[in-house]
Amino acid sequence: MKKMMLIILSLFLLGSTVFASGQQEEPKKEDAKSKEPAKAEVVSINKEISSPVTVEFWHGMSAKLGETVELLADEFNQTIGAEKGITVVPVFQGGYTDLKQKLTASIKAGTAPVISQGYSNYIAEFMQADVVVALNDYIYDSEVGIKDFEDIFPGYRAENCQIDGKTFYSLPFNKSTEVIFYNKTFFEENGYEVPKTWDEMSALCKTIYEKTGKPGMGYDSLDNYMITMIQQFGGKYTDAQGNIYYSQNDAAVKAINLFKENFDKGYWRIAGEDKYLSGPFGNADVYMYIGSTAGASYVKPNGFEWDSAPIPYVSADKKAAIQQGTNVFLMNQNKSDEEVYAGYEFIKYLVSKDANFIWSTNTGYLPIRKSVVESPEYKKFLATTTDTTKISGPAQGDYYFYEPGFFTPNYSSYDVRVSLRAAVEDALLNGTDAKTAVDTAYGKLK
Amino acid sequence: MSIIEGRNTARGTVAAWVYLLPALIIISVFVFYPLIMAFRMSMYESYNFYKNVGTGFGFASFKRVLCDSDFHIAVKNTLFLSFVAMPVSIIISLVIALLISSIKKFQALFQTFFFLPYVTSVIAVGIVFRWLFHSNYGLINYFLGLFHIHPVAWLNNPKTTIYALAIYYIWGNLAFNTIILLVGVQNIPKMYYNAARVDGAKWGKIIFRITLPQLSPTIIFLTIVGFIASFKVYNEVYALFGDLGGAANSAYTIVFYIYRTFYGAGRMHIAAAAAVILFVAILCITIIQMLVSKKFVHYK
Amino acid sequence: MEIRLENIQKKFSSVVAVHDMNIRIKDGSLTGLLGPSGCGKSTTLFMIAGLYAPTAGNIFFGDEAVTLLPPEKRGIGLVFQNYALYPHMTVLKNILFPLENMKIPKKEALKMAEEMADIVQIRDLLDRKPSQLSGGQQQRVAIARALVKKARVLLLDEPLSNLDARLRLETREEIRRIQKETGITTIYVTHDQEEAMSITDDIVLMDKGWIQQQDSPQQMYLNPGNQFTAEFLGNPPVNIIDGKITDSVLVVCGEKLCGFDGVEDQPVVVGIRPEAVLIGNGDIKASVRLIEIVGKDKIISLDLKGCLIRAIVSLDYDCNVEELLSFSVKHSGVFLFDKTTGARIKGFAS
Repeated sequence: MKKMMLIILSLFLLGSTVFASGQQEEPKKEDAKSKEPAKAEVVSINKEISSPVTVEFWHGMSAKLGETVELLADEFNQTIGAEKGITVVPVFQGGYTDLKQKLTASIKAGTAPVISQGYSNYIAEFMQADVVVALNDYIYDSEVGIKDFEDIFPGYRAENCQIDGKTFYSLPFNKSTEVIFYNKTFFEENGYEVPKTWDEMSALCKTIYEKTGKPGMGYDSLDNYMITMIQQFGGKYTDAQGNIYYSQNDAAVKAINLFKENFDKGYWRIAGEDKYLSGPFGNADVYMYIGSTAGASYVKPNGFEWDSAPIPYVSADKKAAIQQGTNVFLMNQNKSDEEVYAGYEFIKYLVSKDANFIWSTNTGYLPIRKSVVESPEYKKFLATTTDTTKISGPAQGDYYFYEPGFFTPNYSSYDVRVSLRAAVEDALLNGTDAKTAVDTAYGKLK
Repeated sequence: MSIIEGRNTARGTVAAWVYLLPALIIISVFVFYPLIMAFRMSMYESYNFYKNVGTGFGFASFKRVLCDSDFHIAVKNTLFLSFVAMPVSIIISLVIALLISSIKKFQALFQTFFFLPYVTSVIAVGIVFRWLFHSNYGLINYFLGLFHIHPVAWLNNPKTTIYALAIYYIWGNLAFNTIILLVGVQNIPKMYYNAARVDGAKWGKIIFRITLPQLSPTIIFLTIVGFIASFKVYNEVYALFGDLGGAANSAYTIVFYIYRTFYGAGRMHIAAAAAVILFVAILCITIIQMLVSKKFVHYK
Repeated sequence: MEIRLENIQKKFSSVVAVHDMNIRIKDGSLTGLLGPSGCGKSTTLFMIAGLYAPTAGNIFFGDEAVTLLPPEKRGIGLVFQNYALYPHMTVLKNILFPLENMKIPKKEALKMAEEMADIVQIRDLLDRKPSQLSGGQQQRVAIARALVKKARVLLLDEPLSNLDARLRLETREEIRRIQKETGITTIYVTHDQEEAMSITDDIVLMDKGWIQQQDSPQQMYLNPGNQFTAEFLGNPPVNIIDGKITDSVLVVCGEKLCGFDGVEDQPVVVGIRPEAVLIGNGDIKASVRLIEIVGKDKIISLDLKGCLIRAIVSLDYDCNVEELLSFSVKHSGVFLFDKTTGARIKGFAS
C-alpha cells in the first residue's frame, strides 16, 4: 500500500512539472494567433514543380463513391498531373468519423496528408494546429488561379470562406441538400399532392395516419431539422465565430413543438432504431421522408415508384434548405511548398467543370457549378436518370444556407448541432417541455 | 523490502534495473507519458491539443464534466452495467457452465458453441442485435408478443436503451465467462463431489457449499476483470446505436462520453478530465475489491 | 453390520473390472481388500459405498439390500485416498458437514463433532483449515468426518498411501485403535500386503477382478490357496521354482528336496518360503551366490544346480559368497501348485 501511494505521489509530482512547463509555453499561442492574419497576405506562392511529387488525398467515400474518387484521381494523374509531375494517391480512411479520428491523429503526429476531405468544423478545429492552408493566393493567382471561380454557386463559396467572409480555407466537393422523398404510387392512388408548407404537411400526414395507421412523414436528421427550422421560423442559429443565437428567440422552441405535436399523434416519426428512413420508406412503413439527396441510391422501393420534391416551408418569404456535405482542404504540415501547390492543382481540378460533371453524374451528389447544371450534357443526364433529387435538390439553390463550422475552447459547431438533436429527442421521447429542452441544450455549451 | 533477502547488494540492484529497463521504457512511453499528459490536459480550462498548450490552470474541466447531464447519464449507465449487467452475466455463465459440465455427451460441442460469440466481431453482432431489438420486426418483441406483452421500442425509447445495451453486453460476455468458469468447474477434483455425496449433500448444497467456494478465485477474477471491462464499455454502444449514443444520448457510457468529447467535439481537455475521473474510479473500485475479496475467497 | 456381496459384477463400457464376486464381511471386523493396482479393489469399495452401481449382483448390509440405495442412505463413512477434505472449510466445518445434511440441530451436531474429534484426537485442530494440517492429522479428520454421522460401515480407500513410512506405521495402529474402540465394521483397501497383514482381521485378496482368497491374514500366509496368493504375501517373497513329484518325492533341479505324499507323479510349481529354508541343518548342498542385508535380516541367495533359492537368516549368521552350505526345508513352508492353473496341490510333505 505504501508503495502504491509513493508511485501515485511521484506521478503527481512529475505531472506538476509538466504543468509548469506547459504554462511557460503559453505566450507562443498568442504569437501564433497574431501571425494568422499575416498569412493571408503572403503574396508569393510557389507554382513550380521541380521534381515529380506524390501527394495523398484522404477521403471518406466508400463503394461507388470511392470508385469515382479513384476515377477522378486517375483522370487528373493522366492529364494535368502528368504534365506537371504530380501524382495524387486517394486514400480511403473509412467513414467521416474514422476520417476525422485519423486526421486528428496524423496532425498530432506531424504526418498530415496534403489534401483531405472534411466538414468546415474539422477545418475550424485543425486551424488550432496552424496546418490549414489559406487558398486565396492560389485561387486568385493570375497564372494558376481558378478563372471561372464565380461560376461556383455563391452559397458554396460563402461556406468555404465563412471565417472572415473572404479567406478561403477549403473548396466545395461533395455537396448535397435535403429533399422530400415520397411514395409516388401511393400519392397518385389517393390523389395526394406533395405538401409545400409545413401546415400542408401536418394536414396530409394526419390524413395518411387516419387512413393507414402509419406515419406520413419522417425526418432523417433531427440536427438538420432543428438547424433548418430555426431559419424557417425566422431565428438565427449560430455564426462562424461561435456565437449562438438560437436561444435568444423562440424559433427553436417552435421547431420542437411542431415536430412534437405531429410525433405525439403518430403523424411523424424519427429514424431511431432504423438509423436511416430509406429502409422503412422502401418497405412503405412511412410514405414520405426528408433526407439527404446523397442517400437517393439507398432508396430501394418495394413495389412502388418514388419521387422527390423540395422540403416544405413555414412561409414563402423565409424558405430555407440546408446545403451540406464536405469540402476539400490543404494542409502544409512538414510538407514542401511544391507539395502544397500539387495539392492545390488537384482540388482545383476537383472543382472544375469537367470533374464536377463526372462527380455529380456518377454519385448522388449535386453539381456545385452553374455551368454544369446548365450544360446540355447534364440536361441529357437528367432525362435519363430516375434520381429526381438531381432536380428537386438544385431547385432549392436560391435559398440554400449552410451550417457555420467553428471551434471555440468550450464548444464547437458539432456540439451545438448534437445538443440540439439531443434536445429534440428529449422533447419527443422523454416528453420534456420544448423550452426546457432548448435551455438545457444551450446550458450544456456554456 | 527486498524479495530475495541477502541479494540486495548494490550490484544486484543495478543489474535488476538493467533487466527492467526495456519494460520500463515501454511502460513509460505507452503508459506513464499518456497518463501524465492526460492529467495535465485535464487541468486546463482550454487546451490546444495539437500544440500541447493550455490556458487557465485549475479544475474547470472537471467541473464541466461533473455538471454535464450527458456525463450523469454516462455514469448512471456505467454503474448499471457494472453492478447489474456484469453480475447477471456471471450468474448466467455460471449456470451454463454447470449445465455443460454436467452433461456427458456433446460437451465439447456445446463448449465450442458457447465460445463462438467470443470470436465474433462486436460490430457484426451489433447489427444482428439491432434487428433483434427492432420494435416492428425484431424477434425479441415477437417472443414478447407470444406472451401478450406489448412490443417494446428497445432502441427508440430513452428509458429502455440501457436495457437493450445491458442485454447485449451480457450476451457478449457470456462466452468468455462461461469458458473460464467451465474450466474452473472441470478443475474441481471429483473426489470432493464423491465425498459430498457420501456426506449426504443434495445437489443444491453441493453447488453452494462445494462448487461455488472452489470456484471463488475464478469468480473473483471474472468480477475484477468484468468490473474494469464494464467501466470501459464503448464498442457495444457504438455497435447498437452508432456514433450518436442512443435516443437523447440515453445510452452514453463513460468511455463513450470520453470518445465523443475527444474525437467528435475535439474538446480534448474535457475528455481528459472525464478520463481522469474514470481512472480514479477504477483505481478505487479495484482497491476495494482486492480488500473485500481477501475475506471471501478461498485460494488453494 | 455384516456385509454380503452376491454375484457382484462391474463393467466399465467393455472392460470387466470385477467378476462375479461373492464375499461376506463379518460384523465388527476390520477387513482388508488387498490386491495389486487395477485388481478391482477400489471399484468394489465404491460399489459398497454406493458411488458406483454394480452391473449385476446384490449388496446386503445385514438383511437389508442396499444395491439401489444412494451413498447417503447406506450409513457408510468413506475415507478417500487423498482424504478429500473440503479445503475451504475448517476442520470443524468438515466434520459438521455430514450432520448438516442430516438436518441435525446445531447444538447436538457440535457435540457429536467434538466427541468424534476426541476419539481421533484432533480436538485442538478444529479451527484450522485442512492445508494447515499434516498428512496424519488430515487422515484423522477424514476418519472423524466419515464416522461422525454414526456410520454403520467405515470404508477406507488406501488410507496410508499419502503418508511417509514412519507415519504409516503410526497411523495404521491408530486406525486399528479407532476401529476397536468404535467396533465399526471396516473395509480397508490397500495394495500393501504387510499393511493388510498387520492390522486386519480378515483379508480379501483380489487379482484381475477375481477373488483369489478370503481368509485371516495368518491363514492366508500359512495356507495360500493358489500360487498368486503365495507370491503376493510375504516379504521377501516366496521362492518359486519348477519341480516335479516322482514317487512321492519332490525333486527340484535334480535334487531331492523332501518327501511328498498324496500327490500323483507330475510336474509342479514349487513355492518355498524363505524362512522355511533351514541353513546348516540338512544334507542338500548349495553355494552362496548373493548376500543381502535387509534391516535386521540377511537374505542369502543359494544356487542349487542353477536354481536360485532365497533363504532368510539372522544378521549375525556368517557366511561368504561361493561358500558351500547345506540346508533342509521346513515342510510347512513348502507349497505345490498346478503348472497350468496355479491352484494349490495339497499333499503332505514328509
